Amino acid sequence: MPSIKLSSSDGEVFSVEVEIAKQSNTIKTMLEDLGMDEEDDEAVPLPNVNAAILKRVIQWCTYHKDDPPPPEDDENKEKRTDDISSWDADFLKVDQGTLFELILAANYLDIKGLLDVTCKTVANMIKGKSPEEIRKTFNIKNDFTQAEEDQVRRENEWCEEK
Amino acid sequence: MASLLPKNGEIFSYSATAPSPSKDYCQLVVTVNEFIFRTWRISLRNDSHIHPKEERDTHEDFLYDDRMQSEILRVLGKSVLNYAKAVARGQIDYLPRLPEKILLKIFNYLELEDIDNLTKTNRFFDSICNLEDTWKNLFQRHTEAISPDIESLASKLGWKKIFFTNKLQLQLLLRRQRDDTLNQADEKQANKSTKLETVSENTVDFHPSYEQSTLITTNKRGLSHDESIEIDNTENNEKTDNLTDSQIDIRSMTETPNTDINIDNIQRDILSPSGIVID
Repeated sequence: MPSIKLSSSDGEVFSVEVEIAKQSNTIKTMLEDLGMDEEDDEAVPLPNVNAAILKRVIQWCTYHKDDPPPPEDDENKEKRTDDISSWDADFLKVDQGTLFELILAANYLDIKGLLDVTCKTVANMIKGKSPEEIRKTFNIKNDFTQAEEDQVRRENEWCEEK
Repeated sequence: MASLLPKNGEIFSYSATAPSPSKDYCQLVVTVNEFIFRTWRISLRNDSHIHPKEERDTHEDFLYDDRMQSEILRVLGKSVLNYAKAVARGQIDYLPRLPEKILLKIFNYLELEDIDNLTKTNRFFDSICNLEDTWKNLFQRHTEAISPDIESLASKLGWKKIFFTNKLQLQLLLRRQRDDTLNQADEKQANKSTKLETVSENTVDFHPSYEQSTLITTNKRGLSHDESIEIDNTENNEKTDNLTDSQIDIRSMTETPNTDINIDNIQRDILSPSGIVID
């Protein structure tokens, strides 16, 4: 199995099988379009991902290496969030800092499957919660004045009339 | 954990003047490493010149620093204190710091009620939840594909408005928009034509396309419209065309303000060259 080296923002180098690394469209493009040689000893620099996160991303990609490519986004389809596999659910039982860093890394590395499942996880943390509960969950500071809060409530009465 | 936080490591900062009668100015800066609280004492007395004061705490120390906490409560208020305490415990508000593109992706997984609840959390989410793209996505999820007609209607009304307009009304608006564009084209042609024949041909030409819109009931017909309809009738009588059809035809056209000009133009064009007089 040919492998390539990936270098994190803090300088740690990981050796990864090419097939696993290619789940990242960013790396795939680098290898194919920019003519980076697979046999090359030089590490691919990933300045936006630190070692701790890169390690997790590689772990995710290794587990999912035999997955079929994720389907293209169909905007018309009802978006489900209850279809997260138990392995992914365990994998994402992390603190919020790590979860959001994983989202950023998946976005930067363009790994659709990982981005989807992390976004679903965040969506599940929002679903069914009251505004106050959402604030608590994500430490969102309420910066409305009383008048603004009343205004927002009025504007959104459509939702409460149901 | 740096990339969601600014490069200089500053998580947030607030500043304010202490509540009256004090005029002290205070600033709280929180970085990934420490809490910095600065105070500028303002005194009216000349003799007491006080230097600005600065206190620094680590995140852990801050949680036990009752004095700094009470100062923050006094000057910056309860919500800032609660927010600061949560940050000290490691709960940083990552969610609103995400790029807009990713937030919109997350919104795609939410129900309408969840979007509403997010809107009520704070100013940032109020603004991002009301973005055009958010409502365009919601509209797309709850209906069929977006047609170019809907797209151009949304550019005038906004996607949130489109989303909450019921389907019948939406059809009506779409029809009006279509009629508008047709009438504009008609107007251009009518302006160019000077002969009576050309004008009447044009009106007849557009006949089939208006047939669909005859279902729309119009209450907005003014006097001037009635006059112009009469002219059209006389014209049609001469040509022995179907009278009732053309009447409905014109009614649907008069729905939109643009047709006023249009029909006036036709009227002028009809009257001046041939000299037909209305009773």
